[in-house]
Amino acid sequence: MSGVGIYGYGRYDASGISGTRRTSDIELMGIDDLKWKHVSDVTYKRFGQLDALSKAAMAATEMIGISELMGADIASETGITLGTKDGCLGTDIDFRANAIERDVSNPRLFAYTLPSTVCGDLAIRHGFQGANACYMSENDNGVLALAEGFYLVESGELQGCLCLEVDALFEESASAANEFKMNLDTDRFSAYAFLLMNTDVAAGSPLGEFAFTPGEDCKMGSLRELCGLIESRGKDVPITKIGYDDLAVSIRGMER
Amino acid sequence: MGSGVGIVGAGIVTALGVGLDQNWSALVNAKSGIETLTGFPADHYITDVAAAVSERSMNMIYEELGDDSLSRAYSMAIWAGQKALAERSINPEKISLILSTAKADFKEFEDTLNSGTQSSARRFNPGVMAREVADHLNLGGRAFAVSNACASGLIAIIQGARMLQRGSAEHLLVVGVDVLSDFVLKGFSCLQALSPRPARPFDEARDGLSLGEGAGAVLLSSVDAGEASRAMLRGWSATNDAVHITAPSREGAGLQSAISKALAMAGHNPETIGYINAHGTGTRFNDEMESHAVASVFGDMEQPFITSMKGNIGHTLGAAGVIETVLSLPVLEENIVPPSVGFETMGVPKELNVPREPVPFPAGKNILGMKSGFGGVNATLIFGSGEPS
Amino acid sequence: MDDLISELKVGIIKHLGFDDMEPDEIETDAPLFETGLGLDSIDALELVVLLKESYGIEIKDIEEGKTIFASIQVLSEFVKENRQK
Repeated sequence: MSGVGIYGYGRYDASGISGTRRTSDIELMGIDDLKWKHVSDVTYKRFGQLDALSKAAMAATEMIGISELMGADIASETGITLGTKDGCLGTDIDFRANAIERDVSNPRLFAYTLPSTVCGDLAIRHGFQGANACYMSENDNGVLALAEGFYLVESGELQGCLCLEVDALFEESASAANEFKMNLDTDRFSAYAFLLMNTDVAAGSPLGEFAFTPGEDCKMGSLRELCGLIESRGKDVPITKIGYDDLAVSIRGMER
Repeated sequence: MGSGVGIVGAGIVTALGVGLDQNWSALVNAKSGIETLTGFPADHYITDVAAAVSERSMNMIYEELGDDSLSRAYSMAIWAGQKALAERSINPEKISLILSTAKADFKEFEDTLNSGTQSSARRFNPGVMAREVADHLNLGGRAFAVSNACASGLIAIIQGARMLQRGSAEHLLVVGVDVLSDFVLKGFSCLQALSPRPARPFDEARDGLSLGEGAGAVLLSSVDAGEASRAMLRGWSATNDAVHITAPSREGAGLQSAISKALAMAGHNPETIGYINAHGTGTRFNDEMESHAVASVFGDMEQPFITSMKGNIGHTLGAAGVIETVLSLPVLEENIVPPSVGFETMGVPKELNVPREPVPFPAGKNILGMKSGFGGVNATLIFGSGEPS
Repeated sequence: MDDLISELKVGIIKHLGFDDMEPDEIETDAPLFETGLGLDSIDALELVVLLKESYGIEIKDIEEGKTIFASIQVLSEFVKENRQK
């Protein structure tokens, strides 16, 4: 009987850029300094056209090494679930500053005033033709996206799913709309990406597996924690609860 | 058969008016709510028309809600949600909520930024808005937002249906809302996507879309065989073109795939579709793409009727999938397909069966709703009569 | 290289956001859309903005743009003839 496994991960955050594909970490760069050549050897001319949120997501995803994990036929049956707390708010403010306050037309920037454009860019780059969904919730967006990705593959609707959480690192104290505006001068983003696949179509063993654990008293995890568990060198198999419905994921600590 | 997912309640407000009766009557009588813009600097845009919810409608909503401190977007969303909930008496503790929106309360956000007043930024966040709308409605389940551009509405309904099927929720209210703002009017002007006149979906003279605003709500529940509902969901799918971030794939391959997959899920042949509620924005590319996708699936058989509602209510962005699903419910109940407003002469490469006046809907057939959005996403939903078999 | 041609190449790279590209990677006679540089419909809109801001040329109809944007060579000839700045 087939199951769902996590076969790759990638991260871009304060601790650097790393993932399944890279054996060494790249030091963190702010989004403005991040160039495509820092994350990949293949050409991708449009990277400079992406907004910050998409760049962060693209960089983290590139660390997974998707082309090594699936061919085009599986990619066409792979979808994307994205969780984000503040979405494209930074780009919204940029667009207002350019197109509205300075009357400088910026058509491409407007396309990025929707958080789901992140999914669009990833779908184009990786040939993912399956279902996309972009979730926004006050908390736990990443684990919501991961849980939904699990269900999409488990139900057979998809053969694979890229699950991400991307956010700008805003000051927690930004409570007033205008304070928000000032704190939006952020160059700092975090992005966590996981590739889920149907175990029947995937080669090799997964980094992590899903299971329903009713009654298990484990706390709700985060995608950042899951990355940490993957990167830890322990032999233990910790369990972290995700999403809801007693769904939990276990990650094997990788030995290197 | 066991149980299925059904729509058991609905609410709506658009430029055509408040409530389903008013909206349906306007639809059947080919009325359009696309009018000259007021309250916006139209000389900043490439159009001066849009489908705004009238002040009369807003006054009625505020009066019924009894709280005029709520913003336009919040009040429309809450009011539509209330209407949907009122059709059944379900314990609100057991109801979850999905908010479907592209820009949430952005009008209020831009007004706040412009006026320089200090105000909490929290409620402009779609995820927070979902929770606050749920709290206003006293719903005790989960609440989150789905934001997938113009396909949000159908993707949110599909999300709700999946959650019900697997037991992640007992009842689910899907609320779609988007409001006009300087931001979206300016943005779509930058993209050269707006028509200077009311949109003319599928017509040979079409030259862009008209923006609209409004809210729609559907209450989803498990419905047992023999139980009545407003409509039963039979199949659905979502795909991605993976070609471009705003333009659809020219031949409509992604949408075609979504239509075929929804039919396969329903276990139906294409002949079972009696009406297609298209996306039909009125742009050259979108309508052309849809005609290719429809022709690929419905090819040589008698074509189902197909209309766009965007000539009546404009493009309501993230709310469109929910609003237009609600507006399709009377098609099943009255057995009438309303005309496609703005359409006169076939203007897409593949011949479509677009009615210019109300036509009978073949009883027993199903409706195919389809929406495509920025980011290359396509979503389809097949639903049929809620009369118990 | 013709000054205007090299200016256009630099302008396209900067304004359209092709960060990692060098001007001499753009062939003067190659198509800009479909093949060649492979620009898309949003790039076309951005080019219209570029023409207005840098050269004072207003393109009223984006369909008109298709012939003008056939290649950098064709574009430079159009700009020479129509520039207001």
